[in-house]
Amino acid sequence: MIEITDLRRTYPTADGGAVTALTDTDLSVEDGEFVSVVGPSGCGKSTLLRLLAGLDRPDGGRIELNGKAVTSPSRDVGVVFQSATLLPWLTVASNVALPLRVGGKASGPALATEELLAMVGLTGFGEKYPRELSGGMQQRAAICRALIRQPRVLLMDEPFGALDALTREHMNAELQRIWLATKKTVVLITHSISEAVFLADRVIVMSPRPGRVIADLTVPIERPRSFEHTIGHPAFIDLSRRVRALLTGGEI
Amino acid sequence: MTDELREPAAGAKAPPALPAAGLGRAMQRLVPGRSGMLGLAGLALLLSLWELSVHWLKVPSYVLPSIEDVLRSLAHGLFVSPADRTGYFLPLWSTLSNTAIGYVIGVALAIILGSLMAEFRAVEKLLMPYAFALQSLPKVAIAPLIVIWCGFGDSSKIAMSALLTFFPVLVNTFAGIQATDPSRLDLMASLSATRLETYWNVKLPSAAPFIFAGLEMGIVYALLGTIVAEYLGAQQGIGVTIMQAEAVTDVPTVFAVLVILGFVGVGMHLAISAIKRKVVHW
Repeated sequence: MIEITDLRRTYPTADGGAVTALTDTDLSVEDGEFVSVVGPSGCGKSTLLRLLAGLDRPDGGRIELNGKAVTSPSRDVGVVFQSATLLPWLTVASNVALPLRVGGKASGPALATEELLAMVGLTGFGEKYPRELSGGMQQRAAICRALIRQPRVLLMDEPFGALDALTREHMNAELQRIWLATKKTVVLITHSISEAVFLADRVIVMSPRPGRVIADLTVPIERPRSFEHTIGHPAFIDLSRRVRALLTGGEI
Repeated sequence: MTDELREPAAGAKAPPALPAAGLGRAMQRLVPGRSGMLGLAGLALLLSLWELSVHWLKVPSYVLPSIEDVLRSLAHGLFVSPADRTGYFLPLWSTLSNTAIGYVIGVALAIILGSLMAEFRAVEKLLMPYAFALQSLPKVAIAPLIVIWCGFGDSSKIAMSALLTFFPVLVNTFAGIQATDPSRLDLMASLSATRLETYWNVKLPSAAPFIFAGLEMGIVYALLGTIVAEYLGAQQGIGVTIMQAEAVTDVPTVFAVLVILGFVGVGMHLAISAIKRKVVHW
């Protein structure tokens, strides 16, 4: 599980000052839980993800992953970035298998590239190059790459932000299916309220800069959730409204 | 100082804007079939003006020889046994092989040093001032020194070819590696990749389009360097052929050799471009 206590991160600015991106942040995520972090632009949610991924170091506080402090990237964590970041000179299959070729010997068994691609509906696309894939397909391949080392935690930083609305809904349904099949612990950073509520067990709402957690809401909707049923569900409507109110500064 | 050296390479982000790439397109325009009849029409006009000025304006043949004389010199140099000492093949082979050897040495050194400079701040700090100083110096001016050091044999030609190849490739390698998309570096960091793994898997391939822009410039400079070294006193090579023809005012031969050099230059540039399309396929 993930345990964050009193996390703080400030960045120096060009004029010699400092910007507090994240302050007094506490959060705990259970194993196998799907948590969405939603907040306005610049609320430090990407900073939170970078700290969780071990790509950045906090100025104060503590992040623990399964009882061990996170100080550098871990094999137990897979990251999906905002852009798919597939390497254009490698085939899709080589991109998915990239984590197996770097970063030292695997501690556990790796998944088969073919099976992963099949799971996300990319059967037969392994030998294609990234430029031949649509944005949604590229991001699905990036998810495969994040899963291939069998990490226990999947961190996703606005992975569907660049996709059109319909593709995004489709990808949300896909991600739920993948999560139900793999039972990873997922932390999804997003600025889409409906995406956050639709996918998560818990929605964490963050304040504008300096970012900190202002609400932790449980989503009491049974799974698997379908878009058609979920968007009309009273709990979905209620939660979406509350998140919106929190983000726009209104009262609940 | 470092920023000033980065500047010329910053233009390499858009390879077509580079002088060498523009030259490449201009050269391709000279090859029939690529942009068709317009190029051929221009060539025909040029040749007609040449012939008219020789016959009607009575330009002396030691200034501008007739096309017929140039063609005769070309035929004399080309339609002989490749082993004939008066033909063009032996000197051309000497020039091209020295150019190629120097090019390969220059490219290898430039990619290695450019990579080290981009990877290690200390190496950059150590070498960049010298790189910048040498970059600003007209390298042809160093040629006499190279001949003193390396003699009148092949080594001074190879050294000049390598020297002139070195800088565009160095600067482009350095700039290309530094321009690696930060999100790709984040990806490699998240995978706990080592520095060397990140270099091989991400930085070097990311820099490939930049490096090839340097390679295309470099091949033109490599030939230039070799011929300059030949001018300064060599026993063989196409530069020597030009000097010998010049000594006896055999201007048609000078023209004929320049025509051959033109084709050779275009050919080498097209060859590098073809390799570029093969390697940088994305």
